Parts: sequence; C-alpha cells; structure tokens
Amino acid sequence: MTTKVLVIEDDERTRRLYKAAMAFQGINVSTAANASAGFKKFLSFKPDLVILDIMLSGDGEMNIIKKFREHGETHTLPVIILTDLKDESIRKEASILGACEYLVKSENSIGDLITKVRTILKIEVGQGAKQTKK
Amino acid sequence: MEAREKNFVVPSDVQNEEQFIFGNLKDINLITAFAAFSAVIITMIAMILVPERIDRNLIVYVLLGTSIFLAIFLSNEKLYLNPRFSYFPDTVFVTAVTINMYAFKEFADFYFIYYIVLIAVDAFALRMRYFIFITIYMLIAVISYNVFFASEFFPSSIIPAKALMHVYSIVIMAVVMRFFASKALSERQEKEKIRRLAENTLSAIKNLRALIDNIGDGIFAVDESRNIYTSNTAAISILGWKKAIINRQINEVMPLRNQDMDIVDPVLKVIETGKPFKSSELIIKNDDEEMKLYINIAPILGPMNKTQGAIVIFRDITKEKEIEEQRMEFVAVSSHELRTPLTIIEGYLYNILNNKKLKYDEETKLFMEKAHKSAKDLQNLITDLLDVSKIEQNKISFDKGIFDVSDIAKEVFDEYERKAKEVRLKLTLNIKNKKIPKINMDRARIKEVFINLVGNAIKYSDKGTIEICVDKIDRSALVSVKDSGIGMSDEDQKFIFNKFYRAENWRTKTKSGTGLGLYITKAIVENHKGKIWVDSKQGVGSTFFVSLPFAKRIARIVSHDTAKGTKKSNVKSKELGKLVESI
Amino acid sequence: MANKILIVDDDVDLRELYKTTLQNEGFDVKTAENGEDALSQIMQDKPELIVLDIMMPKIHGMDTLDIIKATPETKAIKVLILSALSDQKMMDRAKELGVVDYVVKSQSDMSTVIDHIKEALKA
Repeated sequence: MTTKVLVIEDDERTRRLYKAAMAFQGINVSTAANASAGFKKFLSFKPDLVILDIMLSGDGEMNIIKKFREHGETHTLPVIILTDLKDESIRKEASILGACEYLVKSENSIGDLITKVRTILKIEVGQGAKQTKK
Repeated sequence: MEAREKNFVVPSDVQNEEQFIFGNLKDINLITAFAAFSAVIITMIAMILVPERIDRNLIVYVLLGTSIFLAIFLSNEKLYLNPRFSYFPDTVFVTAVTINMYAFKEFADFYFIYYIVLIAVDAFALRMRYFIFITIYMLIAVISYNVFFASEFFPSSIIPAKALMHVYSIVIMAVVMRFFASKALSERQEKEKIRRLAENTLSAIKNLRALIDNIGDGIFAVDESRNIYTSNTAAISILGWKKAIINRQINEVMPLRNQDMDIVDPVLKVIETGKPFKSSELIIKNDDEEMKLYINIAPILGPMNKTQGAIVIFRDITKEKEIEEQRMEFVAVSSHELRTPLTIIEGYLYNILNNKKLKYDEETKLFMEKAHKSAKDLQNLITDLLDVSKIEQNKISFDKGIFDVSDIAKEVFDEYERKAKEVRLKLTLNIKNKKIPKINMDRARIKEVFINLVGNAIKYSDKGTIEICVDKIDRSALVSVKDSGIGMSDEDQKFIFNKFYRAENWRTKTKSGTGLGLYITKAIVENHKGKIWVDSKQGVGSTFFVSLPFAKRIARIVSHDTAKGTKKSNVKSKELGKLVESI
Repeated sequence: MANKILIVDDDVDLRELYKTTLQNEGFDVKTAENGEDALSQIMQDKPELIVLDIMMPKIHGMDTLDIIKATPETKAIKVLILSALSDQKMMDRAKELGVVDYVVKSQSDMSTVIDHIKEALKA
C-alpha cells in the first residue's frame, strides 16, 4: 500500500517542488494551498503524514493541527511543520500538539525533508523512483 | 561735522593711523580748541584780577592773532584736513603761549601749564616727527623766553634754574606721555587687527557657508561624540530631515546599513582609528524607502594627531546604482543570449568534424575547421569582453581563499604538459622554494592567470622549453613563465598589457586570440595587489613574471565585524593567531 | 552496452545538440526539459549519468539535484552539472551534494564538455 502525504503550502512553486519530491519517493501526494482547503483534503484523502507550512499570516495553521488531533483516530498523525520563523512559541505549541516534527526552511533543504519523511513513514529502499502505474 | 566725518571714512583709518594716534581729527581739534578756550578764559580772568601787573595790550593782540589764525585755518578744509599742516595750530599756540608768558611778567609760570597740556595732547595726537618738531620748537621757545625775556622780571640767579625746570618739565612730559601714547597705540592697533581679523573671518565664513550650501552633496561635521555641529542644506534635503539637526547624534539622522541590512557605524570607526572611510555600498532605510549612498568620511585631526571629530560627505546614488544594475544586467543577459546560439554553432561544427558517418571532401573539411575555430574564438571573445566590462566597472568580484601557489602551478602544468607535447614543446615545472607561504586570493582567477601565460607561451613558441618557475621574493610569491619563442620588441613590451594590443610579430604569427588576455590577466593580478611584468628579447624569448603577496597574518584582534571575509583557519601549520583576510 | 545519459536543460536547441553529439559518441541519450520531467524519466529508466543544467523553470536545478541525491534509490546516479553559472557558492553546494563534476558552459567548447562527460562516466 502506498503511503499518502498531504502538502499544505501556499506558494505555488514550493508546492510543486514538494509534490515532485514526494512523488519521486513513490508516495501518493495531494496538495492544498491553505488551511481550510487543507482540512477538507485531509478528510477526503486521509493522509499518513501532513507537511504544513506555517507562514507569517498565521492564518490558523496551528489550529488545523488541533483539528487533526480532535478528529479521533488521527490523533497520532505525524505533522511536519515547515517555517522560516524562528518562533519559540510555535515550537512549544507544536510539541504540545504532539507527533510533530519541526524544520526551519532556511536551514534545511528539500533533501532534508525527504529524509525526514522517509524516516517517519518508514519507507523502505526500493519504493522510491519507481514507475508508478497509471 | 557729519559730512566731514563721512569724507574721512575710507582714508580716515589709514590717515588717522598716519598722523593721529588716538582719536580722530575731530577729537584732537576739540581738545585743542578746549585748551585754547580755557587759555582765553584764564587770560581774561588774569586780566581782570591783576590788570596792572600784566601787559594787557600784548595779550589782547596775541589772542586776536591766534583767533584770526584759527578762524582762517578751521574754515578752510584744504588747510584743516591736510595732514602736513596738522602741526600748524600747535606751532601757533606755542608761539602764543610764549608771548603771553612774557606778557604775564612775574605770573609767567601761570601760562607755562599750557606747554604741558599741549605736549600731553600732542603726544597722543601727532606722528613722531611732528611731535618731535613741536617738542623741539617748544624747547626753543621756552629757552628763548628764559634767555631773552625772563631777566626782565626775575633775578638772574634764578633764571638757569627756571630754564632747567621748564626744559625738564617739557621733556619729562613728552617722554612719559609719548610712552603711554605708544602703548595706547599698540593696544589700539591690536584691537584694530583683531577686529579686522574677526570681520574677515566672519566674511570668509559667510562665503564658505554660501559655498557649502550650494554644494549638491550633503555635508556633516561631527565632534568626537558624533554629535552634528555643522550641516549644509543639501544634507538636510537629501535625508528629508525635518526636525532640528544640530547636536543630534549622526546615527540618529543617518542610520547606515550595509548590503545585508545590518546596522553599521563607519563614523565611529573613523573617529576611533583616525583612518578615512569611503563606500558606495551603504544604505539608509526609511520606512519603505531605501536610499543608496556614496559616503566619504574623513577624520578631523587636532593637536598631536588626536581625532577631534569627522567630516561626512555623502550623496544619493540610488539612481546611479539602478542604472548601473540595469547596465550590468543588460551586459549579462546579452552575453548569455549571445552565447547560446554560438554554442549551437560551435557544437554542430564540432559534430560535423567528429561524425565518422558523414562524408565530405578535404576542402569542405578545411572550411569546417576554419569556421569551427572562429566559433571557438568568438566564444572566448565574449567571455573576455564580459570580464573586461566587469573590470572596468569595478564589478569584478573575487572569491578569496587561502591556497598554495605551487599547487595551482602544478595543476596548470599537469593540464598543459600534454598540449605542449602535441606541438613539440617541452613544459617544465620548477619549484625553487618549497617553503612558500600561502596566498589569499581567488583560486580560479589566479589559475586563469597562469593558464593565460602558459597558453601564450605555447602559442608563440616554435620550439624549445617553457619553464614554469615558482619562487619567493620579499613577502610575495614569484611565478614566472619563460619561453624560447619569438619574443617581442621593447616597444611591444610597453603596450603588451593594453586592451586589444597585439605585438607586431604576434599578429602575423597567429590570428587567434582576443588581444584581451593579458589585459584581463593584469587586472586580476593587480586587483589582488600583485604585480605583473615582462622581460623579452625579440627572436630569443619572453619571460612573464607575476608576484603575488602572501596572506597577511594578524594576531586575532577582538573586533565585532570579523564576519565578512574572515575565513576559518584551515591551515595545517602552526602559525600564531589566525589568518585574516587582508584589506 | 552503451551508457545511458539523461540530459536536462530547458533550452531545446542545446538539448538537441548535446543529444546529437553524445549519440555520435555512442551513448544512449534521453532528454528532459525541466526538473519534473527529469524526475519522471528517471522513474521510468534510470540513467548512468545525468547532465544537469541549473537555471531551469518550475523546479530549480539544485533542488532537482538535491531530490535525486536524497532519494536512496537514485543516490548513486552520477550527476554532472553543466551550467552557465560560475558562482563559487553554487559550485560548493553542488560538490557538497555529491556531483561528479561541475562544468561551466561559457568556459567550455563542445570538445571540453564531451571530455568531462567521458571522464565522469569513468569515475
């Protein structure tokens, strides 16, 4: 069974990059451009992991994690938070919400993200860079 | 009197200094008139009090005569104002006094006081020569009186004593009063000098002020606490500063930042180190607007070369920078655009020449080869032109790093040894000194320098050996590339580093080459504070020398901006302190 | 057995040129016009060498490189950067990520590029 990842990111170019990177790992990727669309996708797509970009607008992105947690079975859903803000409060909130990993965009590259995702989802060598049927 | 005074205004200062020491003509005449007037009063009183004992008629004649003289003298400007006649009244008074002394008989000494008064006034009023004249005249007059007339009224035994007293009084008075007059004069002259100096200074300041205010660049002068004490109008208008500016900290008025938006304080540095500072890279950020500045800060040095403040001159170069950026972008884009089709041309020509399946005759092959070579030349030319444009606009940037010059020499040697062999030349590497300290420069560019020199050596030699030599002199590494090629004339050696210059025989020898190689090489070397020169003899060969200064070693100075350019030590040897990038 | 090479460059003329030249040298050449295209091609058929341009639309060349090198299945594929950029920082980063060579387009004629590619395959 292929793993499913949901990417919530507002910048189109970055979204495309994350999608390509995840797809290359043999992951089934879905994307959303903001928190509300993200939650809708979450309900229909049922991902195994969520990649969430926290932006300055702070448009309730952290709240969405709360919603994930409150949604019953998914209280252990791993969420990777990506941010450029070195904000301690976000880090604290993230740890309170549990099962969150935290990456600073300016210090980590796409390669680091891939490594993290593979580790969390325990993707084995051989699943990636495979021709997906369809 | 007003009108007369006005006449005096311009020459008065000068004339006054010449003839009168103290006061002006008006004052002098007033005093003299007062003295004369009081003499008249005293005379009249005496005439009333002791009529029988004095010669009234004589006195009246004298008074009349004096009055008439004065009337004539004072009414005629030509006499009155002429400095040469300034002693006339005094002469007349002395004569009048002497005659009246005779007229006053035993009461002669009554009148003597007027000699003293006159001497005192003249000490302050007259120039030395006139004063001496009057004094001498007075002495003659008083001695004449004593000799000829005194015996009529006084016992002869007293007369010598009287004469002596008269002379003595006059002389003492003259000397003492003149002494004080001189003192007063010097003081006045000093005051005059100071006043004039102050006036001139003030006027000079006004002119300077007007000049500074008309300068388009902003100017601030700050004291050692960095408070602004002078500014010109341009400074205020460039910064758009609306409040009072004097005594504010310059950082408040001009918050400078560098390209990374960090706050910098070059004014502080200039005051601390006493070294001037110049930059075209600093920025002021006000709310949303960014202003790029050219700034030039010079220290103001006081006694014993202690810095007392600084002068800050600045200019808004945002527009210029914009234009420059656009130009650089244009050059970069154009050259990029030029390169792509050229790559295609060169690439396909290469393909034609290297595709074994294609068939063409020798002539076609030759044409293709020529075209291919030109395409490659064009590629090199574009690269060179881009470099030259960067150099000329001082936009060339270097990624400095610490490395061994011998390593680069070896790399170049390895790469070109085979190529040299292909054209039947021998390339050798001679590292004369194994212990050459490292240099702190742009590795790729320095390698370019050596490649250029070795490439030239190969190009312009038919035979023989090309020797790459690495040595050290003073505090620099010395690398030389020696060939036994065609060499060049003394004339050529002078111009060989110029743009597009090709030595005469070089030109006939081969048509390839951009003529820019040595120009760029020289620019790179000199930008790293090195030197390049050539020693050549036509028909014998050329040797190109490059000296590159060693990396400076400074014991780690505690400074807050070690960030830019400081490379962490990656040197294996044990040196004191860390290697810090040279300025 | 011919070496498989994937050329990634956004300029179609250059892509064709390199393809023609390398095929002439006896290589099996495929081309991709951007990072996404390159990744999907790699999934279909893993090459031995990727000749990668940096300045590309959609996904930056360095990100493409990063993805390839961070994915264990493709980590070992040799990558040679062929770019117009000669920025030292870029070169350092590329070396960090594990490229086998970095060739600057503007400083190399076709002969030089081919030499570097051949060297890279041998490494």
